[in-house]
Amino acid sequence: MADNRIIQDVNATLCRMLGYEKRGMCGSSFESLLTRSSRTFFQIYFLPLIKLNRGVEEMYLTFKTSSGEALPVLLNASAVERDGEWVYDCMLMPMRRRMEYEQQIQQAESASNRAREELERIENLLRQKRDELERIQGTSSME
Amino acid sequence: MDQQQILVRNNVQVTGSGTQYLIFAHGFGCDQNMWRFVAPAFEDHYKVVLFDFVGSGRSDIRAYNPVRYSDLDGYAQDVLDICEALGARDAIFVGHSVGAMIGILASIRRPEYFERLILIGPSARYLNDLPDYIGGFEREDLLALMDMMDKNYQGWASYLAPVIMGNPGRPELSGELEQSFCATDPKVAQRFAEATFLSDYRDALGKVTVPSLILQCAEDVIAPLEAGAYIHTHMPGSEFQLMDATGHCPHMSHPDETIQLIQAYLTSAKAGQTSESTR
Repeated sequence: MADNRIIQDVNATLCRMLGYEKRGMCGSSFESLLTRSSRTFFQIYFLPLIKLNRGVEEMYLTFKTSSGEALPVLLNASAVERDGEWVYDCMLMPMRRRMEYEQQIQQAESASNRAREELERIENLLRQKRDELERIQGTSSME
Repeated sequence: MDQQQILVRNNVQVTGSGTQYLIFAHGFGCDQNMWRFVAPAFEDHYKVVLFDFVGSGRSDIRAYNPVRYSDLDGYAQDVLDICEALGARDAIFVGHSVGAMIGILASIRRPEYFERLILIGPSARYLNDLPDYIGGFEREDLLALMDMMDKNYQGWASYLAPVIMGNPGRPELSGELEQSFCATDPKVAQRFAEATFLSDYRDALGKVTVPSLILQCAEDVIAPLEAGAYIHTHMPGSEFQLMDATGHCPHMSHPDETIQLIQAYLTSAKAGQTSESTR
């Protein structure tokens, strides 16, 4: 995309991923391809980062496909000077499976935490009961 | 805190050979480096002041207090602390985004510190309050934005997290490790986001006595036209200028236009002052 975030060129893979024609995408603003929250995030963070760091690594954004679906991606971008103008070369990696995997990991982690807490609770209860039993046995053996 | 401590706490940098202070306040999501294409243009005629709000950039993270910085008044205090540490009076304040609102709040508390306010992409409230007020966001939009921030701050997206947070006790480390610009502690960023996007300062606008210029970008989803226009109609002494720049960061995307509009405003402000004093 150009410095003004208008798309200059796209490859066939991206067109296929989003379900748009190359013709339609070139000349449109990059932001128009994003969901609302991603557009907000992009407007806050992208320019400062690419202007100051000359690159952006693994920015998580959600695109809108032509069928209205949300497509999570990781964006890598680098700023290059071409013919005296700044241009941002971007690589997008679809994240759908990765996001599902991340969610599964998070769910497994919470389940594991819950199970551990339950185990601790049971262990404490067991200790309590054992103590009680010892006290009762101790009392009865004193009679 | 003494003067020197404040200047260190907020990573205050003063350059330029003028006599009047020109203070630049960054907005949400970055730090004083955002001004690098604009601030130098003013060094010949002003004392240019750049700083980082506590929690951002290279400010002292140890000074971050989640209670103080849970609303914008805590941030306004940073501005006042810096003015007091510098002995600034009748300064020009340039604020971007939430930095603009913070400046407005600071000027209400200490109008004598400021001669003019220049507000880039300001908003008094981000949430819509239909039917009369358009801030640009519904509650679910804000939740979605917070979720985006969460996902981007997670471990594998490390470009936003600092490589090392300010380590004043170990100065030998700072040379070795690079810190990328706009790095912020994720928890601080989240609380700053909440303090910013959930705030409502519409009632404060009528209390402003310092004259101001509002610079409004086109197609700014964070501070839309309606929000800028609202400020203009409710804040006395304000001028409104629609820019050619699109997006939310004209000082980064269109620095020349930004510089030119600020200079024009300050020049006409001075001319106005001169003609008043010769009456």
